[in-house]
Amino acid sequence: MLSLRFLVLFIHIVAVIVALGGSLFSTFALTPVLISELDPPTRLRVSRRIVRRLGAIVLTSLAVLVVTGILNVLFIGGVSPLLAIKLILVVVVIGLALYQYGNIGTQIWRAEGPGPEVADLQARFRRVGLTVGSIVLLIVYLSIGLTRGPGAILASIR
Amino acid sequence: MGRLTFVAIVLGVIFTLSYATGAHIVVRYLNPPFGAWWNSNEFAIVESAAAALGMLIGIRIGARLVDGGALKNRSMIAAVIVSVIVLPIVGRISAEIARFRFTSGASANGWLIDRFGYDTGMFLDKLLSASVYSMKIAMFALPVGMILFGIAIAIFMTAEPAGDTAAVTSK
Repeated sequence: MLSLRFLVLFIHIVAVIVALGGSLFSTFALTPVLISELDPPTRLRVSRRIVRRLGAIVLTSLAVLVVTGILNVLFIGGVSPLLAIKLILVVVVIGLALYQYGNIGTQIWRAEGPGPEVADLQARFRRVGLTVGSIVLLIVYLSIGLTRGPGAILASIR
Repeated sequence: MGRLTFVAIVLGVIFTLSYATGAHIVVRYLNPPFGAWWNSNEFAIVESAAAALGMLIGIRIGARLVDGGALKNRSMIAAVIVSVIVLPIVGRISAEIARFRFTSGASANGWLIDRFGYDTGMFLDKLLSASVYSMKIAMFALPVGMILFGIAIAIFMTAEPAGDTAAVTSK
């Protein structure tokens, strides 16, 4: 139970929870409350700070995911077609997260004041966030298939 | 960035071809000590060049997805510096993963020998193996480059003042 492999897997799962949980909380809980409770200038100010903090948390979680994921592949000792699909999806998720926080997020925090353009950016930010969350859920499903499904990685390699 | 990527591609191609063709013999003939060094290091250079290329492509893809300006440039520079530092580790781990088998590999070997004869087929098979190995290393290093750029963005993003809230944020 207290092996390096278990520790790496634990950190990997925690990173998924942090990345996915943060995005889902922001999209489904925080943003609707901000829209209903705050006036546009205050909402923009709060959104800017959230975008930056959440961006740092999500991107760092993805970095931890990549590092621990690579270590997991080393521990497993093989690459199945399912794992290859998962790796491609991980690259897509990283790209989308970079676009979400580095492009749309940057434009939101550099905006001078509230307006239709900023509202459009915020809507796009949420849409990309939802896409990232959906793909991460798909990756989690593939991960279950890798370890528990009929094409489990150990069975397909050895 | 463009020049670094070009250097990584050139090094990768030269040393992959050298490894596949056994070109160290030619270098040994011209300069024996340098040829010996070339022979003992060419495989490590193939792996390092492939890992460097993968990380550089990852950084460039990441940079394309981010809004332009000083933030992007600073992040790219920081990511490249960190890539250079972690290159030996990433190269070694990517090479380790690239050695895991995806298929048996026998089909390409048999087809090449059938199509081009034994000598040419075996040579092409070695060339194909070395090229696929390099590409697999580059593919595994690519997300590392992307995420290094992502971390740099995250760090610089939190330090940059925002719009009309810069004063409020700094307070």
